[in-house]
Amino acid sequence: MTCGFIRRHLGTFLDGELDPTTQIELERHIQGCARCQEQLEFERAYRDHFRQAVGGVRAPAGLEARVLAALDAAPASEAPGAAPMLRFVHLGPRRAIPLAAAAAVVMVVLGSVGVPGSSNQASLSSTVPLFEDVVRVHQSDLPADVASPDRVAPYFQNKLSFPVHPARFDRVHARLVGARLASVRGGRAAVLYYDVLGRRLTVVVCAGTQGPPATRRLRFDGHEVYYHRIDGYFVPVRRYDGLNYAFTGDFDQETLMRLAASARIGD
Amino acid sequence: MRKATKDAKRRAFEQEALPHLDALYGTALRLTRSPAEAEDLVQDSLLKAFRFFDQFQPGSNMKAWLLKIETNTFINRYRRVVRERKVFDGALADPVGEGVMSRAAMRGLTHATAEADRRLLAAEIQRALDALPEEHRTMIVLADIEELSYREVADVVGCPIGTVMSRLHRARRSMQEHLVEQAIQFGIVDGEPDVAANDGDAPPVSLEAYRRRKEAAG
Repeated sequence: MTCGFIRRHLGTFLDGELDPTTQIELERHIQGCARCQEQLEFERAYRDHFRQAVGGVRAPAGLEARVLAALDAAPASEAPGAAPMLRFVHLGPRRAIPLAAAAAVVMVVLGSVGVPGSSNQASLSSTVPLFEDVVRVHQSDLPADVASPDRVAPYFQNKLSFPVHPARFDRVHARLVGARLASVRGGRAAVLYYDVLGRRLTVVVCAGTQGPPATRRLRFDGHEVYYHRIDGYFVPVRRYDGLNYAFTGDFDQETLMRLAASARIGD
Repeated sequence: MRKATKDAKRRAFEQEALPHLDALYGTALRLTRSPAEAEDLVQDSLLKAFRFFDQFQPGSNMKAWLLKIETNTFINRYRRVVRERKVFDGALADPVGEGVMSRAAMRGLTHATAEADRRLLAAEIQRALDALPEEHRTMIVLADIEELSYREVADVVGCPIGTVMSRLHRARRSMQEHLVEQAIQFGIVDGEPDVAANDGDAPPVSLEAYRRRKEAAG
């Protein structure tokens, strides 16, 4: 048993995780080796320093109450084996809490963004910039041009080639808080901001005769939802009346999918 | 039956899970490196744990179970770059250098007891920990702060015990090297090389460092 070997396993030795024989052999060696003893002392001292430095963190005072409130609002149980992801039914505003450790939704209605070249089939390369732009619009976090929900639709009247009807959310507590214009792939877009219990979600809706190509599609909650993942963001898209509504934000995939599927668009 | 069962479940959950709130928050803080995100992560994890509470096996380690849920929630939700794992099993998987630390520096650190020194070291440890790659940080937090056994860590992270062992070794080693390096720079310890052969080349010992060490030792 060499000193090099000892040094390599000193941590495991201190953790008491070596097999008993090796543990005893190490102990024996260390007793007779000043240098390894010194190493062991150092390793111990390091552990002490480490625990003192980063251990003993206490949860903030309000956290327990916050968790309890969230538990109150949460559905009681999940059928074993059921995929918890795809359930978003009959959520009242209170129940929305677990869903949305998330609080603001941004919704972007994109102006006419025709796909150059082919009208019924766009290539991946022409689609990705759209999603990139949606994510960029979300990330840029610019202030709203209009901050009053009532003024959102009128605000866009003469600025876009299509009327803007903000999506509504009945089954999750999402509040329209403002809107602004943005440029997406060279076209004009309407950006709608929603607040979902304190966090922001960005929904991008773009004009186009086809659904966003080169994306995946699934039927969710009675709606067709396209989705694409880019730069770590998940972007589900709903289509209605020639417009694409793309949703994104700092939410997990499940939440975004639920938000997208539950949005009431055009009715 | 619904209501009574639900209440019982809720009570049992609160009794079993809430005592681990500090551990969950501490770990979340180390994983996310942000107090606000840590709170979100704790809340999400506990909600998930409550939903799957029926699947918890009584008698097993509640804390480890909760930490597993939290770690997985973190990985699924917050980790964006999946490739990190590859990087880590690649280039950095090489064994770290052994015995490169100066013995004098190690000795100094072992006996660093002056309050000011310890505070400096504590700040450096925090920084070094936060700078560790996520997978190593997770292991360190679970093993060295939460004191889970290797088997439990392996179960939480979903890797073989041997991997836990080698990653822990590498992570601790790199923390220690960083610490020694910083301690030398701060003058808490001196970094004279071990080898007596080239005493002529030994870097000048800062008088300040010498005094501080004396104070610390005394």
